[in-house]
Amino acid sequence: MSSTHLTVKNLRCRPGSQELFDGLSISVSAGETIELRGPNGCGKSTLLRIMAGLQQPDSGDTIRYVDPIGYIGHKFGLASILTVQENLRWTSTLNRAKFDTSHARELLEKFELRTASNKLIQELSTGQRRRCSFVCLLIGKYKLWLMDEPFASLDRQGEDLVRELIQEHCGNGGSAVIASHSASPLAQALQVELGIS
Amino acid sequence: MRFWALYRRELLIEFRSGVESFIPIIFFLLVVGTFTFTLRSFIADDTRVLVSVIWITTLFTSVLSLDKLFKRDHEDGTLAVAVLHSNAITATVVTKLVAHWSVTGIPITFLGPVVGLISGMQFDHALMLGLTLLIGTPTITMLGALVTALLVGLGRGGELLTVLILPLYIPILLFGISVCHLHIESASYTSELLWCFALLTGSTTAIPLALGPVLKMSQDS
Repeated sequence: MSSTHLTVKNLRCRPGSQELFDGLSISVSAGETIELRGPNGCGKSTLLRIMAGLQQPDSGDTIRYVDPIGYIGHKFGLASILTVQENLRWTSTLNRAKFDTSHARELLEKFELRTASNKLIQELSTGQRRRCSFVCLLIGKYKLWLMDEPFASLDRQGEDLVRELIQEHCGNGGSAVIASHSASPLAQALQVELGIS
Repeated sequence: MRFWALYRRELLIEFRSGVESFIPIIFFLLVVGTFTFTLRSFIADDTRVLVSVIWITTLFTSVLSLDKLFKRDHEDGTLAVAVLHSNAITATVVTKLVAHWSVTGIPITFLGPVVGLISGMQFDHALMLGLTLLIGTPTITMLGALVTALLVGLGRGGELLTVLILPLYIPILLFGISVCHLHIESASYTSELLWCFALLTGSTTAIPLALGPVLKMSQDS
């Protein structure tokens, strides 16, 4: 059985007159973390969307060996007029899994969202919403995580928790591709530098 | 079990949206009420006028309500999450459409004949109007959902949606109205009614399967 989770080959993306990347090939295997780095507008988010299948490149192939994929983009993927608990239940339903209340409670405790579990998403702060999207990612039990700026709007403690979480996920045979601006790169992550040509 | 869980979620969203979810029904009642009041002498002579008014208003109500069908999910990113679950997207979309029909189509199916009865329509004519709306409103929802799904990524509903949807509604409008008119005239309406069923069957079987790929494609814009 292949341990490769995702492969992109010879990707070319040129929205308008600016070329973001050409001939880009990346392979993501179990246990690997890839950190996409580069200035604003260099195509990190676009590459993540292409990897997820939400956007088509101008040319090149994307092969996903795992399905579904856990994706957190600029939008958190949480229904704003549902509660935290209801959003977690929805993630379970999408994954045809039975909602494990005690597991969800543990995760909410870990992300300091226990008291917010019955609050509507629109009542939460941006940092809390981001934390909630991580809980969804864990509830979904996805093998491959694609995360766009996962540390944005998190406090120091939250950032450490997410770093630890990514490391633990990859240690358990998962994989992650992260677009990040964080000053301190992720430990043991393969760095891919994108630049505007 | 999954259907009910998804359906419950969609209904919760509809009801928590408050008055926004019921604006289409209020619009329907206001328009039909206005026509009934201003054309009351024509309607008293010929109830076929009222049937046409109710059917046309149903179409415009649908356009008004469909504009927001996928909009909220697109804005908060849940639509992107749903399309990434290829084995769940069809179920998600179908429950969304059923929930949408539950809060717009079902009330119209009941309110149309009630307005007819209040305006002096015979009971059996009102019943036939209800039957055609029962067949027609899910067809309208399906056809409208397809166009809405195509436009969701563009962030342009409104006038573009109206222009693209209304031509698709013409067959069901013509057959729905024809059935009611022929019934009022005591003429045979079997073939028109069968056409209504054919449109319902075609749209409810083919469109849900097409919506998943269309929604995924609409993310790329």
